[in-house]
Amino acid sequence: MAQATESLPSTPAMTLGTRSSRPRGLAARTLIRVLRDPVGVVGLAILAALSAVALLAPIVASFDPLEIGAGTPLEAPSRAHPFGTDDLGRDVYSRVVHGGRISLWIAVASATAALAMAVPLGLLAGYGGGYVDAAIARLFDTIFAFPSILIGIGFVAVLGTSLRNVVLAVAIINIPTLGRLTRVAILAQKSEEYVEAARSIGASGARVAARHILPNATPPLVVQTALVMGEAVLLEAAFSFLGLGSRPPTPSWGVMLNEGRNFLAQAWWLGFFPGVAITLMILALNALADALRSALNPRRL
Amino acid sequence: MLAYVVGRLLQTIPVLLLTSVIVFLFLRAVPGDPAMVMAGQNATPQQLEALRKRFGLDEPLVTQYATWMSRLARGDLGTAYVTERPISSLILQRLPATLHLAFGAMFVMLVVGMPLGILGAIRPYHPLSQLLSMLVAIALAVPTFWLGILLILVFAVSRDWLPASGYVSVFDQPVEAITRLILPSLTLGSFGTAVLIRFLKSSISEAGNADFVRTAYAKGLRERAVILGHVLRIALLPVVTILAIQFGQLLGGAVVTEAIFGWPGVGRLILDAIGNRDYLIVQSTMLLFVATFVVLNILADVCYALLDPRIRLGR
Amino acid sequence: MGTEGRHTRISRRQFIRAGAGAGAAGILSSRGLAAAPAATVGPRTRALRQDTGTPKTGGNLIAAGTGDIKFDPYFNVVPARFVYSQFFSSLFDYRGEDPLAPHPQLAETWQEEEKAITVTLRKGVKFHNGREMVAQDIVDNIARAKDESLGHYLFSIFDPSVEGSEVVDNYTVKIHYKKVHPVKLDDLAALFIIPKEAMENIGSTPVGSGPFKYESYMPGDSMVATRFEDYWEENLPYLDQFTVKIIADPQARLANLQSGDVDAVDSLAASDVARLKEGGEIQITNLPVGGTWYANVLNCAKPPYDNKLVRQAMNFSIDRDKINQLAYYGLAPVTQSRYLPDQFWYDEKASTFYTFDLDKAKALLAEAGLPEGFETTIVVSETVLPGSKAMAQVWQQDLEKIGVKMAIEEREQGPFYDEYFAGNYDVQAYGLGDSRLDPATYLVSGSPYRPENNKANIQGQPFFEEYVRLIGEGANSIDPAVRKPIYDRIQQIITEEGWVITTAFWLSFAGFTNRVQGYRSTIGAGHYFGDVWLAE
Repeated sequence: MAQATESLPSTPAMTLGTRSSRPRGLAARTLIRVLRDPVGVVGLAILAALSAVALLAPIVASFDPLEIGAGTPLEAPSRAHPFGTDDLGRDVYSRVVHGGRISLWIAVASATAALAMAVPLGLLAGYGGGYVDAAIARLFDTIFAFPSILIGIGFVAVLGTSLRNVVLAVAIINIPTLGRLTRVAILAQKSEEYVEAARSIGASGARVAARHILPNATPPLVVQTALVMGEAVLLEAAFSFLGLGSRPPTPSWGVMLNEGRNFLAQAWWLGFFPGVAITLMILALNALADALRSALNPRRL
Repeated sequence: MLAYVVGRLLQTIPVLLLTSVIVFLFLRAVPGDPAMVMAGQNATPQQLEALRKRFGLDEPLVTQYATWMSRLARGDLGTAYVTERPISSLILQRLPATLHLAFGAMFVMLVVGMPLGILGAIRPYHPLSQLLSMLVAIALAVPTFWLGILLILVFAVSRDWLPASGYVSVFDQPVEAITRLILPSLTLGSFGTAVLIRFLKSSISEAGNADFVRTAYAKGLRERAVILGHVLRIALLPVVTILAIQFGQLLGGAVVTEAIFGWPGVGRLILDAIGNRDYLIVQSTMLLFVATFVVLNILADVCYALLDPRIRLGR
Repeated sequence: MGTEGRHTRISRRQFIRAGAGAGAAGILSSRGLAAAPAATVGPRTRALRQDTGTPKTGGNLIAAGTGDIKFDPYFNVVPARFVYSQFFSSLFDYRGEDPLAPHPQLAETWQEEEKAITVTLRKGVKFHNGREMVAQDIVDNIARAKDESLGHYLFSIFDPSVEGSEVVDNYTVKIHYKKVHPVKLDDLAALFIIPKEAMENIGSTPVGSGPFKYESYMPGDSMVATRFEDYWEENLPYLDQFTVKIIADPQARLANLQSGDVDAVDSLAASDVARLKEGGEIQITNLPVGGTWYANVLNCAKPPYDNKLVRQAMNFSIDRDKINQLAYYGLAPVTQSRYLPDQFWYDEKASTFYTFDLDKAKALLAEAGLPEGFETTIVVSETVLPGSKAMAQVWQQDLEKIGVKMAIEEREQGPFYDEYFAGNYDVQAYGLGDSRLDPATYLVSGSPYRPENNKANIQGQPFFEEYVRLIGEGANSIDPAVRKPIYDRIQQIITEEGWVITTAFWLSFAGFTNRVQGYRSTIGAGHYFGDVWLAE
């Protein structure tokens, strides 16, 4: 579904990061640039607000999100229940607030898992070359060619519906993009003089990869990771929407949307507020990615 | 050029083989088989066994895979377990609905996305352009299905303006078909439209900074002429690729949109077949999905090369 | 796949059987009849409220189907509930006065013995291919029902009971049974008669003797059937055409019903029924009570459910009324046994054993050595049993008060069945039942009840031997009076041992536009539109 970056044939990100630079200095400079960029500020602000609400959920929420009968079932938004109540009389506001924790967790965990799988594969492809490269390239092609929603359905169907499996599915969907970014960066670096130099003084392949090549692949990966996080939130919602999400009564936003769908005509608030929350979270992550991309753009140097 | 195309096509063979193996094994790994789903919670072991035998699932996996492949090679996609009909005819029956939807979404992308993208690019500081940027950012963030639900809520439930669901072929009842297409096309097309606008904006402004454009300005050409004559030509190139890839994505994204709008398309077929564990339908349809996506990608690259002489394929 | 799963086909009320047909003279059945009191039906909403005026011929009724149809009526898949009775007829159905009692359809008269039944067929019944139905067709269908290789559910009904059948004359058939069999008519009501020459392709091209004739089918889109001019019931059907439009999404089905694009919708969600009833623009019917019941099965092979005290504690901890209100919108009559008080097989002791009593539950857990409670998991499936997720959430909260931490796992149908068959579950929602009223049926085929291949794994429990023996004894007579006390005892065992926590009856609601006239729901295989007409 959300494949903004996958869809772009050659994002600027893919061409940058070929110059060697000290990563630490880069990080600091990037942060400053992001903070000077209005888009970045908005993104960070929303994200910070959502994270704060999610982390402080027990304090911010007015009810136990799982409490059946906190109000009468299907109550419209009111002072007591600002987002109304659901079919079991649970407070939707409290559920949305707690749902933020799940979405945040999904976003972070998916991105981490995706990086953990994609980067080694990309390194292997870039470094190994030849048949290894070709084989991994076909693997990426194959994963990429599957409609992502169907990968998710298949995955969750095998391993069962749980947040962990949603995370895994999102990670796998994002392997090709992240893996290719890594590979491209490696290929660009491999022939650089300082790599040859490092190797000539006896540094092992792994050491060269870790110390010299990987840092240069970082900027595009950072941008992409922010996007993966947004996509993870979206996909979790989509899976939940198709009935493949977290286990009840966990109030994930996607699950709430799915449940709200059955009450479309009677109780619009069931699906509306979680939908707004999802949109805000993805908006923030996308904005952050944009700001990072332009901050890391070498043409701005 | 020909060598490039042939080379790319050859590369798809391992991809398709890998796909077939993955899908095949995946389905067998999924808990629950077609016999269970058909027989239900009170099934007896004998009944399950008989059904498995009937579907050929008692054979070893290798035999099952070989049977499927050899039938495929002969153009036979197999027979569905539930409806007992040839899968090729099932897909052909569902394809028009999905294509309606995909073309509807493409139409939205082109009609809404192209002009807005160009306008946004040539008047980047106009207030409307800023608004457009915000809308695009939102469109990229809104979950498709939620958008679909909101559209239904606004246009079909609270106001009875547009039908909430149901597919009619444009060849049978053109007007009815189009009214029914509006909401699902907007839903499915919104994301692609946003991608397109964003992309056009950046590619046009990049092209606008290119040397030959500056030369054109320097020659004293009027802005409109410069934009139409030079900038657009360059900027539109990537659109081809975007459209091709989006079209492939649309087929997959249609799964959700079809579910929301009760659309009897291929996405629905595959979703139901996964639920029913109608293995052969899932296997064949997935393979077709992937093949379509891969071929569209190749086509996009070829078009790209044909349109832009600066690009040479076969690197 | 649908509200009531696959096996809601039949209810059995064999004890009322002989009164059904004109001129029916059962040898033993008259004795059976005397013993059986007339049972009431439950909420009498099965007929539409506007059954007035003279039936009118013509028109096209469009029903909304839920998914792809498998035409072979030997498989009773839920999406085909709108279809079977339009294309096919059987020897008996449930379209008489009592919607739970078998009523002769293709049969004219019959004589029942303990181990045989002789049926005389109605003459002049035509199949859609023009051929007349004769006794040999019944023999052919019995043989098909006993064919294991097809994988249909009728095998498990007919093969264990029926020895074989023979043609007595062109219109008379005699069916021999291996042992005493108390539910012959109900079994035969499930057997739709297909002409032998159409059996090969019956899965894709239905041919029967029902009121409508198959015209076309586009999977995923629609199915069209037209009036069968040679239908054996005179002047029927009223409709010229019957169409099923397949609309997989429940909300889309509802929208189509409300806009009048379709006339009939099946498997309505409880939340929608409650709302439609208020609106008044849609006619709502439901199946007679007793068809389908919801329960939770405890896996006796998984500790602590091997302990009767723990099972009873689970029973005491479930608040049926709250579940009905919150999960089923007050539409599902609560129960803790298979029967309601006005039904013949009802046993008070088995139906009032439990109350909602958390203190008692906690005491039982303490007695079982689990004063702190334990952790467990319930598996539910909204696709198989809508409402089961909400049910589990309500129960979960009460269980927590006695220290039982119950996780809820939701599954789609494949894994749901897989884990159930493999015995790989603690607690699983169960709702398929057998929908049949005679205990001789569901106790033998219902997976948590049956002695063989029991999916609650009760083998090895102390009560098991007695339970199995009683089930055998209960089916060893065709006299309800003899059988009743045996089944009372069996039901008491089921309730007190507590491995099946029955919660409520599910009535399977259908909605119709106001122009649909004359429809009546029966407990048999789906909806019948042969005598339905459309008002202006």
